[in-house]
Amino acid sequence: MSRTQEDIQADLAEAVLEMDEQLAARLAREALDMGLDAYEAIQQGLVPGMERAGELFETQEYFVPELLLCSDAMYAALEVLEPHLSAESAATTRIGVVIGVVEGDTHDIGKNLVAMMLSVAGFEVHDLGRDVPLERFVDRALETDARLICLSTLMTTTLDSMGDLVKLLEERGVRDRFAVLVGGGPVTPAFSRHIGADGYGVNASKAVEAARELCGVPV
Amino acid sequence: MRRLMAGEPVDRAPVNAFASAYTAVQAGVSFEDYYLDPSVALSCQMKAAARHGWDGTPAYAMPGWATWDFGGEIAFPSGRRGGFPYVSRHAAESPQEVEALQVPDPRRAPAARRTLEFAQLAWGDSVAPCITGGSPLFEAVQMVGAERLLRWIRREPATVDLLLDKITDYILRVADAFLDDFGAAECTVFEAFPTESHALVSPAVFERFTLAREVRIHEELIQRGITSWVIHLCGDHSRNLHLWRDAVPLPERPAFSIGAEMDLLEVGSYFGDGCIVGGNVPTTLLQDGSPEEVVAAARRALERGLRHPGGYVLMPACGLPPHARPENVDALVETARTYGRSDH
Repeated sequence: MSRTQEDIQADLAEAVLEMDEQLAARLAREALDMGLDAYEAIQQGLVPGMERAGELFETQEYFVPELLLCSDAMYAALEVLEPHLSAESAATTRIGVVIGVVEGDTHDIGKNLVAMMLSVAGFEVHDLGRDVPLERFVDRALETDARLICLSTLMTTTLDSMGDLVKLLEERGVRDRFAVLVGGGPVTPAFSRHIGADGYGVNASKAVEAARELCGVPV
Repeated sequence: MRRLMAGEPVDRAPVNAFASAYTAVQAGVSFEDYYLDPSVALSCQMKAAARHGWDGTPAYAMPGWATWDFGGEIAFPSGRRGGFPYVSRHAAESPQEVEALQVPDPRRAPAARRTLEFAQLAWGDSVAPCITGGSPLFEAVQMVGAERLLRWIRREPATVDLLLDKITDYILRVADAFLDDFGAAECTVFEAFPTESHALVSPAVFERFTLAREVRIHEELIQRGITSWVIHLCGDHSRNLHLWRDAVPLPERPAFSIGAEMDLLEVGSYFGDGCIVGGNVPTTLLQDGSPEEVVAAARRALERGLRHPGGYVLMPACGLPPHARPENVDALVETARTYGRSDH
């Protein structure tokens, strides 16, 4: 019996969940060969797989190594599928997010996971990397017309930069244009409120939930 | 502090601010000068201890130390407020490079040599030497990069094993240098486990990769006569505790310092009356909170910790933030003095 498009989508999700890069890429090619729309393969295959991985992370069945390898599998399939996206689906308007690790800190695992999960959740992610000067966050958010700025740090030495960014947005008269979401090892909800941030994520899954809430995207 | 570690009666909970670069900031010294010159580090530590009157003794450990000693490079952030040294070049980036790593000679290696020098200088001021015991997995993260190491845990477990064995060999080699210079009776071992927290890896990873190395480090150092031990469980380790209790050889009075994610009394009861507990006061509060908030958090920690029969050390949940407010540190110390008696 020949496999249906639904079968391939389910297998793609499973390949992501099982962290199998080669299988994910092969299934992506199979999906294209049988005429499955690339956008559908992503939305109905890769995204549910990665969302399920996020749920397992949330319940501490998966941890950071597993999440990293799931994302490797997802990106392996994406590489096959993306060139085949129709102009129409590629041009779908998505909510812009600027994300980075604040200046003085080079720890970026948490930021990378949040960026990847936001991308899976349908946001247009502008990842500035690590050790990013505060001005760059603001400039990039203005350039891309983003709605959300996400800041991460693992160090207490750079924690206060998050509050400085909120002040910088105020000084430049653009505070109302962007929601600010913070996270990282030493960051707490109380600290987030103290500096005037709009949201806080204790981990990658919660950060995506907070981002959706701040941008009015249904969870 | 010495009396508590020895199991003798104490009149109140001692306070250890778990301070390193904070003392440099207070002395107006750059992070670079503090970490690269042990005499500067000791001077900063002594000044801060005199200023605040805490009970902890000076200690020195360089972030990324094993990476530097194995041939990687460290650098210091150039931002206006400075920051901890970070790894600017990994010691290895492929399984082949891990195979080629040679275990260094601690007396010639840049970081261990400084640690020994600090201990020698502090010894002149009657400060007990402190051996850095790991964890090997945390040093491995620094040596090859966090994402690479975390992927290798599943994709290249044999490489991770080899790397951890080399790091464990080195930790024991550094410990031997301390034991030769100061004798086992004078030395304390300090170990920190940020990588093994449940925020990063599973309990299965702790059991598969860390446990055997910890058993070896503990067995060998206990055999060499070390009795004083501080184990810092950074973050949530609640699902690893049974392995610490049942599988890792511990001295008679180990001290467990814990983050804000675990409960002092629960951890204390897990290891029994022979162990000391410490920590739990949120570090962010020490940096950005008010003295009143610090007093309230410290009182909550004392209320839990002092109910543990083995004793409690009032400490931050992790290292004192370099930019903690001095008045908050004063509040921490004062709270131990005012509310730190078990009959309070």
